[in-house]
Amino acid sequence: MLASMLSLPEKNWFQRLIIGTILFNAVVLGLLTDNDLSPDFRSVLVMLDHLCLLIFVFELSLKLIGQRFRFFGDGWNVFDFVVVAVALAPASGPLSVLRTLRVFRLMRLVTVVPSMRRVINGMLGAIPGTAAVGGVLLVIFYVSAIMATNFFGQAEPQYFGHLGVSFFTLFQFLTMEGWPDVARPVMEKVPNAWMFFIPFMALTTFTTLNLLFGIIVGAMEKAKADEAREDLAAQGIEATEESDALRIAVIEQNVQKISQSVSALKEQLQKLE
Amino acid sequence: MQSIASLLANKLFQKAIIGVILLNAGILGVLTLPNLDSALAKALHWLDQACMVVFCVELGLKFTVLRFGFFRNGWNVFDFAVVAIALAPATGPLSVLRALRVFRLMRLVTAFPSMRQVIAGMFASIPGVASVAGILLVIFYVSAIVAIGFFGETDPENFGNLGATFFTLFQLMTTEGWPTMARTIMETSPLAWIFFITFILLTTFTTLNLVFGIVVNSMEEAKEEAAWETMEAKGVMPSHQSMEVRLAIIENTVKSAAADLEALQAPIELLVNARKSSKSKDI
Repeated sequence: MLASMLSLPEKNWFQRLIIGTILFNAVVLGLLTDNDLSPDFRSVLVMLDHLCLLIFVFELSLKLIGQRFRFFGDGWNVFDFVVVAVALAPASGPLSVLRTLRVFRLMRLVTVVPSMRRVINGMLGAIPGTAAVGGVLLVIFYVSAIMATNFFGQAEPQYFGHLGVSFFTLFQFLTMEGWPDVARPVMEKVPNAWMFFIPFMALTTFTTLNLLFGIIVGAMEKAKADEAREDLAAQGIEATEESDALRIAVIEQNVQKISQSVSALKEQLQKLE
Repeated sequence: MQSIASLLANKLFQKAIIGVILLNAGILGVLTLPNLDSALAKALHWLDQACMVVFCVELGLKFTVLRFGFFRNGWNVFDFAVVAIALAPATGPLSVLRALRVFRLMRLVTAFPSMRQVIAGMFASIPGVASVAGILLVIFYVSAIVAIGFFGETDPENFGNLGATFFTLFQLMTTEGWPTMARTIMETSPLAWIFFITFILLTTFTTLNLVFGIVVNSMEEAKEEAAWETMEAKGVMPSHQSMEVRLAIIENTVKSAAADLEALQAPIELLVNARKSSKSKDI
C-alpha cells in the first residue's frame, strides 16, 4: 500500500493530473485578480486555490518520503519545494509580500513539462561558459556607476545621486530607452558628458548581446546534443562526451589504419600471383 | 482531366496567375485613393471582380484534378480560404470581411516556390521553439498576477486588471517607455525596480532566444532542403538523421572496420603462405 503510494509520482496519469492542477490553479489565481468579484465567488475560488495547494503538498510529500534526502539533490525538487513552501508561509505581518509570491507556484508548469525543463536546463548549463562575459559586464557596470555618480551626481541627483540610482539609470541606458532625455539635461551642465554616455552604451549593448547570444547558442547546442544522445540510445549506439574535433581526429586515424591494412592485404594477395 | 493537370503544371499558366495577383494588387492599391473618379473606380471594381473570377477558375480546376486531396495541402487550404473570404457577402455582420479581401494578395507568397520555402521553414521550426514560447507565456502570466498584487492599487491604469497588465507587460518587454513607468511606481513602492529589471531581463532574453531559435532552425531547414536536392541529383541516398547521429555512426563503422581489417591480416597471411608452399610443392 505504502509502496504503491510512493510510486505514484512516477505514474504518467499522476503527472498529467499535476499538470492539470497547475493549469487549473493558474485560472483560479487569474480570476482572483479581479477586484469586482462577489464575496461568495471569491471564497469559493480561495477554497479551490487551497485545494490545489493541498494536492501539491501531497505530491511533494510523497516524493519527499520516497526519496528521503536525495530529494534535495535535484535542483528541480528544491525549486518545487520552495515555491510550494512560499504559499504555506503566513500571509500576514512582515511576510505579507509572500502572499503575492504564491503565484510562483504556477512556474511549476515549467518543471513538470519535460521539454520546457530541457530548455531551462540548457540555459542554465550554458551559464558557466558565459560567466566570464557576465563578469566583464558587471565590472563595466560597477566602474561606470561610480564614475557617473562622481561626474554627474551634482548635476542630476535624480539620475546619478547615489550608486543605486546610478545603477538603475545605467540599466536604462543599456535598454536604450529614453536615454537622450537623461543625457541632454546632463550635457547642459556637463557638456562633455557624451564622452561617457556613448562609449558606455556601445560597450554594454555589445557585451550584453555577446552574453545573450553565448547563452542561447550554448543552450541550443546542448539541447541538440541531448536530442542526438536520445536518438543514439534508441539505435543502441553509445554516445561520447568528446568534442567533435577529437572525434574527427580519431576517425581520421582509423581511416588511415584501414587504408594501411588494405594496402598490406593487397601486397599479400599480390604475392599469390 | 489529364489536360487540366498539365495546364495547371504549365509554367506559362502559373506566370499568368502571378500576373493576375500583381494586377489585383495594383487595383486594390489604387482603390484606396480618396479622390477617385467614380467612372475609374467602377472600372477598377469591375477588374477586381475579373481577377476574382480568374482565381475561382484556377482553384476550381485544381479542385477537379485533386478532388478532396486538394485540402490535404496546407497551401491549397490557404488559397481557398483567402479567395472564399472575398466571396462572402460584404454586408451585415460579415462586413469586416470586405477589408480582409486584401488577403488575396498573400497568394503571391504561395505562388512563388522560394517564398513558400521561407514560410514552410518558419512553420517547421515552430515545434522546436514551442517550449520556449511556453516558458515565455508562463513568465508573462505569473508576472501579470504578481504585478497586479504589487502595483494594482498604485497604478490601476497600467496594472488594474489582467488584460491591462498583459498589455503593460508587453510594453515592458519591448522596453518602450519603461523608465517613466518604473520611476513613477518606485515613488510609492521603492523596491519595484526588482520586478521591472528582472522582468525585462527575463523576457527580452527569452524572446531573443525564441526569435533566434526560429531563425536558426529555419535557416538549417532551408540548407538541409537544398542539400537534399543536390544529393538526389547526384544519386546519393539522403539521410534523415542529424549530423550528430551521423557522425557517431561513421565513428563506429570506421572503428569496427579498422579492427576487422586488422584481424584479417594474420589469417590472410597464413592463407597466402599455405598457398605459396603448396604451389612450391606442386613445382
